Amino acid sequence: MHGEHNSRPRLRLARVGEEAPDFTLPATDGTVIDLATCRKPVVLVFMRHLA
Amino acid sequence: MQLHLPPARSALDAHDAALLVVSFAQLNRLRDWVPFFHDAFLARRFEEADLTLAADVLAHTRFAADPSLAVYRAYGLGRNSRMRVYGPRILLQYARWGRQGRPLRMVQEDPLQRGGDFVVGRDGRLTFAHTGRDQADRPPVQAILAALR
Repeated sequence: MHGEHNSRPRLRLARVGEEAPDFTLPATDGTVIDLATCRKPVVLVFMRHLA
Repeated sequence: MQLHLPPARSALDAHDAALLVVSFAQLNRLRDWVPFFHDAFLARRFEEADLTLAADVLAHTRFAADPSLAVYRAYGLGRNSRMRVYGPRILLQYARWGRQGRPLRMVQEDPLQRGGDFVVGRDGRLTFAHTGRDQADRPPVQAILAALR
């Protein structure tokens, strides 16, 4: 699986000033989070592996 | 974790800002991890700072699961090299955590996957974007809060 990741093209970090990429994800509280409908500003923290 | 301390919480409240934490763990595992995070990390951090941990400290934080990594990739968060993840700076950090008695658990997810911090402004555009050179490279919380607009 890791080798598969490495074969992917290099990603470009989303930049300040750009439209935030929209997404819909399930949340631990049983709801679905849709960035487009979240109140803003929003702080997004993408975690590394869980401690 | 710094974002849960009272000064940061006040700043988030003042801007009516949402705090959304995204993990690439499976949803069930993330759901099980949140109480562990509360007890093992937040409670300890508040105690160290001699602060009272409010019962609703996580009430304003939502945790979302992205096990496919689709959203990580959309934001440009790929994988680090092994050298960065297991470099001397990181090993020193783990040694320091060990001395402090912090719980260190076996990693289940990809340890090379990068994390990052972003702020989405009211107009839907990014006002802050950061991914660390390695796990120890986190942005100052003041920089995140300064981007709230």
